[in-house]
Amino acid sequence: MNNLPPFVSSYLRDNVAQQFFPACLHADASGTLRAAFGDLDFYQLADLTAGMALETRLPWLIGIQLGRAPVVLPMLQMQSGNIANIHLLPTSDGSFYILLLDAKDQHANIQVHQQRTNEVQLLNNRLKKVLTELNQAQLELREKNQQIAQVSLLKSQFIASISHEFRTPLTSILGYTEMYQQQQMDQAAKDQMMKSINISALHVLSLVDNILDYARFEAGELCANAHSVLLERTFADIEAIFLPMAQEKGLAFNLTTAANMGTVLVDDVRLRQVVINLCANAIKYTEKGEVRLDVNLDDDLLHVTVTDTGAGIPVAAQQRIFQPFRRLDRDRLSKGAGLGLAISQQILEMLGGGLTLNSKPGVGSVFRVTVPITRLDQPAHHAHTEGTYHILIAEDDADARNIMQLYLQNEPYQVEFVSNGRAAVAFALNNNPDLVLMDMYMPLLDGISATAQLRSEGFVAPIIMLSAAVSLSDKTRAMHAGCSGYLQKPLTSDTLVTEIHQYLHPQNHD
Amino acid sequence: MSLLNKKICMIGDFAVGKSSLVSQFVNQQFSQKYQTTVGVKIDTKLVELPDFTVKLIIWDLAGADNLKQATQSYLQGMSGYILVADGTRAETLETALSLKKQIDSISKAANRAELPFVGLINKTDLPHSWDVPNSQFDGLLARGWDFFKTSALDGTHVEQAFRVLAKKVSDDE
Repeated sequence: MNNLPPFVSSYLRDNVAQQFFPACLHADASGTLRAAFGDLDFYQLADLTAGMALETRLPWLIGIQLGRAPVVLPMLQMQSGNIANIHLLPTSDGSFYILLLDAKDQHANIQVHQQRTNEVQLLNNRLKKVLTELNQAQLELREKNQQIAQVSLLKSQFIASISHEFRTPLTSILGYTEMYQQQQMDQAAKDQMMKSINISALHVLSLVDNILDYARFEAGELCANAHSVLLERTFADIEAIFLPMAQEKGLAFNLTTAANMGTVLVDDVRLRQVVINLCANAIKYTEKGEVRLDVNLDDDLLHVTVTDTGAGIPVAAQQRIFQPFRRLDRDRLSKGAGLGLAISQQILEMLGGGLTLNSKPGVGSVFRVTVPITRLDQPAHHAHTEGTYHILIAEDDADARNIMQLYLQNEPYQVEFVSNGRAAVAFALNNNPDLVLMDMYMPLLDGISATAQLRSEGFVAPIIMLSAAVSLSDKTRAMHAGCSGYLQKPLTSDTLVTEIHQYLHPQNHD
Repeated sequence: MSLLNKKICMIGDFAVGKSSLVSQFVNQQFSQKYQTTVGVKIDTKLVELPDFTVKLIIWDLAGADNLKQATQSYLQGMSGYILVADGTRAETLETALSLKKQIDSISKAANRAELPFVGLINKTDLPHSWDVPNSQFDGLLARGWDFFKTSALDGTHVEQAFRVLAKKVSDDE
């Protein structure tokens, strides 16, 4: 400035003064004000007087230790709102000057720029996060697509497998029926033919049942239906089914049950389904040795163990076989849709029980079933005590009536038929039968309305609803109307007789 | 009761909520609008402790991921500091811990003890965007450090954190 012409120096001085509103404070080493200069009003410091401790008005001085070099505090925003570049200038006598230069415009310019930069960076960070999440979502989607493709493949395999499964017994049925019509043959050959047709038809029925059960599980439509059950009877029936099959293969089939198992509350239909499935598998996959069925009972838990001396299941496959449509490679040549174990496991979960597997290849397999039960001292249903039992069958379809009559002809029952719900109500109230088999869909009055009417009239004997429908709602409606049981058509002789026995003969099976 | 004057600094990455925390502590106010701090802003607040009244002179520094020359001039003479991170941006906690290391290095170079500090992981009012695992937070506490999860919006743990630092910076008096 010294070398500049006085006119220019003066211009610059004025210019700086107008732009930066300089103010200056001179303080001693302890921070006491000696003198103040410049535009003090601008910084709201006009009231400062000599001798005043500056820290009380300028608290940002607190803590600052000055050496010999000046200290600059850029863009310091004071409580007054002023923004200044502060220069602290020490002198040789220990006192110091505080130079304040307004930085409001500089601050505003930098802030606009900095704000924009920070906001862009925040957006970039968010974008990075979103991209990471998007990548993660894409990975999950890819995995899900792979799962869907796998399910689709399994479905295709299932359709191919199930088509084969249906075609085989149906071909057999068609072949036998054709031979039956065309050829002269003796009664023994005819009986054998009918037996084969029956076996094939039962196999088709069991395939349909399995597929429907699985579909109902998937739809959450299957629920437990516990009633009083004689366990000795249940397992004797199962033994009766499997003993001849085992003997035919040269296997031993041994049933061991705990003594005095008595009557318990359990869903017998589903219990039988599980045990029959396990025993059938055991016999199917055992070529020599034995299949053992052990039954034990705790206070509230039924334990069933099916042991075989078959080929065993490789460890790697032991979880897989419980998945639907999964079968071991060696099973490709045998019958089945790969649903039995999956359904059994789901049934047991539904009943609150469990299914475990212990298997050693080359030694055999042990399937352990647990099912919660409630012990009952007395039979739960009305039972006749002496003489012939009277059964009323309400069914509008003549073929169905004939089949049921055939199924029951060797049983000690007197069977009466009516063909609509209204007649069923009238007959039951007048003749008080020991049990009613009620078709759900009949003319004049349907089975559910007829049942509700009978219950409202005080009719207490068991009523078993018969229906070809597979939906849960039909069964629920039937049970709400007052039915004691529910049977799904088509019926087999064994299913019908067993169900009737449950209600009419519980005390005779001890 | 004696009055102590103590300078403390707010230190942390940009947009972690340092100015909002000061505003909540000093004026019990919160603004949703993000306004970046440039330079430094000075505020004061009296904190009543059982034996002292402490006047905190709060230097609210512009957000930064390292201590530049200019920033270091602001730190001169501070008695302690508040380290702030944004709980919805885990990387800002790393920045905060890095800044602490730099401050410790400066103290060490000047043959001074490490300065007292309190750590805040801010924005607990945004739980769905929270990015700092509990295990990491527990790890900080396990090192004996005073860390708080705070919200400048609703004031969670804000007063408490400043009081803890006020106590710490007054402990040698």
